[in-house]
Amino acid sequence: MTDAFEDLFRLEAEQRGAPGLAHVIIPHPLGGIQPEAVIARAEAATPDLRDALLGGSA
Amino acid sequence: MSEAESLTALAATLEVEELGTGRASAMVELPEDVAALSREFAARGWSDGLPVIPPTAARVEAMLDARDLDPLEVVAILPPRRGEATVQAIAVNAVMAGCEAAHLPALLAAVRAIAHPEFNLSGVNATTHPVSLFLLVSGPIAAELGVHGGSGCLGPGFSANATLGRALRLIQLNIAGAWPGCGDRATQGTPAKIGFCATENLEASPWPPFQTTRGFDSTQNTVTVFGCEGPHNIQDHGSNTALGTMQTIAGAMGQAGSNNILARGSPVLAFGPEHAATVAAEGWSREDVQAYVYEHARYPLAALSDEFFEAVQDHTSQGVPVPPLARDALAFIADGPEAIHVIVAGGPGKHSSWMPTFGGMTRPVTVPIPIP
Repeated sequence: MTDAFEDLFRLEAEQRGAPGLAHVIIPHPLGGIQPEAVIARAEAATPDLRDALLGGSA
Repeated sequence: MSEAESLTALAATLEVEELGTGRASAMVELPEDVAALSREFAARGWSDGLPVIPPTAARVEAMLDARDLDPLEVVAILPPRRGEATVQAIAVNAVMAGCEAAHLPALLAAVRAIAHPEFNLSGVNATTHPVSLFLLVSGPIAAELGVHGGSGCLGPGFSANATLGRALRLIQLNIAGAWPGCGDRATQGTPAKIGFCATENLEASPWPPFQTTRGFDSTQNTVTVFGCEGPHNIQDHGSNTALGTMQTIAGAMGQAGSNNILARGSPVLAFGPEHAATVAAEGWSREDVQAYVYEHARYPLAALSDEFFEAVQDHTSQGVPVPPLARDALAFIADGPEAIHVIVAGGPGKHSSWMPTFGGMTRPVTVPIPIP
C-alpha cells in the first residue's frame, strides 16, 4: 500500500490477528502519476517486495 | 430466491448468529458540566466534535431498561478496529447523540445493516470516497419515532432524524474506529457523515413504500442503510410532463465524477413529491422510473480522458468486472434498473435529489426492526 494508508493497514492487521503481516510500503500517491513514475516506484519497491515474499515483514 | 428474499434471509441469519458476550463499557470519572465534559470527550477522541449528552450509567440503564435486552450481547463486530458493538456500547453512543429510548431498536437494526457483508463496511471506511451512512426508516415506526419525511427532511430541525443519524456516526467513530485520517480515509469527507437519516413522505408518494421493494410488506418496520454521498439537488421548474421531468433527472444523474460512473452500484433517487406527482400522473410506476433512469442516466465516455476510460475498463462491482464499453459508448451508473433505489421525500417545490454511492463496492442493506 502507499504510505498514506500505512496506519490503517497496521490497525486492520493487528485487529485481525496478523500484526506482523508482510507488506510493502510505497510513496503516496500512485494514482494520477505518469507511467514512468509508476515503473520507478515498482523498481524501487522490488527489494522490499522480494523480502516480503521470502518471509520478511518489510 | 430473489435479491430481497436473500437479503431478508441473511438479515435473519445475522440475528441468530452467535457473536457471544462482549465486554462491559468502562466507567470513568468526568466533569459534570456538559460543556466541560464535551470538551473532554472531544480531547479524548470520543465524539464527533459537537456537544454530547453525558452517557451516565443512569441514562444508559434507562435506555436499556425500556427493552428486554442483554447489555453485553454483541450485535456486530465493526471494522477497521473490529470493535465489539454490544447493546450497551450502542446505547452509550445513542445517549451521547441525544436519542430517546424508543430509538434504540432502529439503531440496533442499523448497526446490523452496516455489519452485513454486502454493505462492505471495511471498504466504506477505508475508501477516500465521501461515503455517509444514510438511514432510511420505513414502516409505521417512522411516525412513532418522529422521523420526518416532509419539508426539509434531509436537513436540520428534526430530532429523530438528527439524533439517529448522529448516533450511527458516533458508533462508527467510537466502536468501529472510523476516525478521519486513520480508520476513515475520506479525502474530504462530507457533512452527511455527521448524520443522515430520514423517512419517505408516504402521504405524498404515488408509489408503494420503499420497504416493499426489499421484500417486506408496508406494515413492517425496517431500516435500510445506503453507503452514499449527501444529496445532489435536481431542479426542474419547467417540465410539466413525465418525460420532461425524467429527462432532467436522468441528465443530472448521468454526470462525470461520480463513483457510480466508475463502478456502477446502487444509487438513490429521492423524488420531491411534486416531481413524483408529475411523473406518476401519466401512469409511470416506480419500475418505469427505474428502467428509464438506467437507460438514460448515462454519460458519454468520449467526453472523458483516455486515461479515465482505461480506469473504467479495469473496474469491478462487488468483485465482478464491470462489462467493458466502447470508447464512444455511454457509461451506466447502476448495475441494473432494480439497483436504482427510488424514494419520495420532502415537501412542496420543484426539487428532487440523488445520492451517488461508493459505487459497486457497497450494497444497501435492509434489516427489520424488532420491537421486543
